[in-house]
Amino acid sequence: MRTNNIWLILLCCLVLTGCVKTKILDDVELIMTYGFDWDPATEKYKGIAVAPVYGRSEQAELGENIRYTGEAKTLQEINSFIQTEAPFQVEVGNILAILFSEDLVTNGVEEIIHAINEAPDIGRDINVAITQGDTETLLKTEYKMELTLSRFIEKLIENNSKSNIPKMNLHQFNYRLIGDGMDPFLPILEQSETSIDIAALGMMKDDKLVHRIPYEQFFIFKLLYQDCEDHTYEFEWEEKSETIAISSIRSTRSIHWKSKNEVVIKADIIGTLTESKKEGVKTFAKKKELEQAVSKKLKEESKQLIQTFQELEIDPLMVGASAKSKFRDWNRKEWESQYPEITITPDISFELDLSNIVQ
Amino acid sequence: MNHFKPDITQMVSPFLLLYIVHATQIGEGILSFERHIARIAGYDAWISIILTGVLTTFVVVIIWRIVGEEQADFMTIHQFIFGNLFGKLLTFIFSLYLFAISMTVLVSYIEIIQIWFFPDMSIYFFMFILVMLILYISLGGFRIVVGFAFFSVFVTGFLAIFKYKAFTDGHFNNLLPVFNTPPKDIILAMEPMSFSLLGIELILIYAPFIHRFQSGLKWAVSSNIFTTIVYFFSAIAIFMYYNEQHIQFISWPTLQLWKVINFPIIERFEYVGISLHMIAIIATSCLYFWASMQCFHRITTFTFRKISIFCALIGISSIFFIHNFLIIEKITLTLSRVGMVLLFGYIPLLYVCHKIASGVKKKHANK
Repeated sequence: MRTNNIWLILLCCLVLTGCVKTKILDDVELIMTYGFDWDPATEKYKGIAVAPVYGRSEQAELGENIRYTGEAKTLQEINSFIQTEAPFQVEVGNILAILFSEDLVTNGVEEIIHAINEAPDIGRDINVAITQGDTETLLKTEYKMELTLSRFIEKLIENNSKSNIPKMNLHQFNYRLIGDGMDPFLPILEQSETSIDIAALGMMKDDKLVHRIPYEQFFIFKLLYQDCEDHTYEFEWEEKSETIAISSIRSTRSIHWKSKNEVVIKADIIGTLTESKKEGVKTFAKKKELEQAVSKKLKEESKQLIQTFQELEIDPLMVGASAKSKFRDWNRKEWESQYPEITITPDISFELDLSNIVQ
Repeated sequence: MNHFKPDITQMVSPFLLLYIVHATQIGEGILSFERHIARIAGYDAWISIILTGVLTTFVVVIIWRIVGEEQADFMTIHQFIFGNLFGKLLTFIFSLYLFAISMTVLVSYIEIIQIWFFPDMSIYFFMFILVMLILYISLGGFRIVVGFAFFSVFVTGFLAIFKYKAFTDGHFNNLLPVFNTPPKDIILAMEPMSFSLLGIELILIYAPFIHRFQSGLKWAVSSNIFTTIVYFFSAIAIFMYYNEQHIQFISWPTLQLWKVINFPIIERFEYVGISLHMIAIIATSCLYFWASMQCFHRITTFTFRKISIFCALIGISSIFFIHNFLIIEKITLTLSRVGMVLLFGYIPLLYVCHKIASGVKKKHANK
């Protein structure tokens, strides 16, 4: 009898453990994109949450979205504000992208980023981006697209991270924001007439947007920043007034320190000649000529880009972090005062390995 | 000396020491130790891990010397050296410490559960369930406890694989230049590190339960080395993944690393990781609880069952007092200090005392 009672108590325990909030996927408002604006009048953040509406009918062709807005000084308060508009429990566990408006990023984004970091249910493999203009207008416009808006933004950034821009998720952004000798950068999304596209890369000094590089410089930046794969580069050969396209570019990047004030960023590129407008490359001499011309052009462009970075005192290429790992007596203050003066030389060598399918 | 000799049905074979020692050492600490050691020694802290590993290996050897051929356990040795009353008092203090660790491990795990999974969960209730589980396993006897420890090693081994993300996404630069921290800091970082390697002191309690104890030294030493390697690998992964400033903002670096891993069926791996880690937590807590109860049982006349149930109740009620994160942090810090003193101060001292005492008693016996 006594043992039976114990079993009864234990059984009760098992039944009672269900007393926490249940989260059934159909009954939660699954927010997938979060946008933040800064309202200078009230000094509050304005959050715009986009949740997909999974069709009541299976034939729904277009992805539909539902938007909620909330205004508050903290992220959690925005969430509970949004709850007042949503019929189901608001859940932020499946966020795919976080967007900041240009104004907010110009003012500094550190506070809201830390708020996001403190929430345990937000992942780290999230795309972060800046929007040109207000996030609200970008997210509230109805687009005609097959995917839901959140999936669209996710795929847009993710696929471009493979080819055009370096990958930057929330973890990598935090890493660069907090770490010494590096500065973060984010893609800038722009609203076009019918859709959204990536307009530029926004370079940040600490947590503030200070510079943007256009599409034309994406390739150079990525070349100097990391190893890349599968890129396309359009080369304008001014001396011969030709335009040549090189694709399937693979490159390896490394940093070599000559002395404390002199560093070489080396990038070796291998590519395939795909568009030469009938010109073709038929001799070794021509090949070499082309290779050298491309290297020279890239070198010039890189030099320009690096110079801009040094003038703005930003270090998205993580040269400081490399110096830190190289020199024992590295310290942040000294580095920051030295950084604009040191010579950073890009050393880019280009090699053509294959040609196209037309002779 | 009056030896305690358990029944052969309660004994386990010496090779299981490999699992027992490893399971006691790996508990809640593996989720957060990187932050603690990096705070003191920066990113040269991996040297402290190796040094601590070497030192603890020496402690394991010393423990084998103390226990000796007779397979005397901690209580017997205490009473042999310090006499009946004082020996019992020391054992009592020691078992309080074991009991405290056993409960702290649980409470700090519940903290994670509460933050990550169920913020509105009743922690008292969850604690009750966990302690009941631990009580149930402990009452099953030493073999059941070891069985659970055996199981937990595979779980932690499986979870360790998922640090691969740090090696693919991390920056090896973070670890360079090597030896840029003053040696003093590297030595100081051994203190939080030794908390992570605590667990070998339990050998003193369960020594009589190991069959052919003397042949188990190689297993215990290899287990200790294995744990050191696991910690080393884990620290390198985390140090590559976070930079020195970033890591100080993160309570559980490993859990945040798992946040990035996703599979088609699992959006975020940390939920799987935390849940699986419960098995490691229970194994650790259970071994400590069992050892503590064994001490209490040996110094009093109560049966193991009675004292276990009584202590389980105390354990459950402890959550009413340690329910906020600052207290947990404080207790963990204090226990790590105590553990460090115990490992590197008290056990070698005990060895010296044991040598002297047995020498003196031998001399008197000969007269």
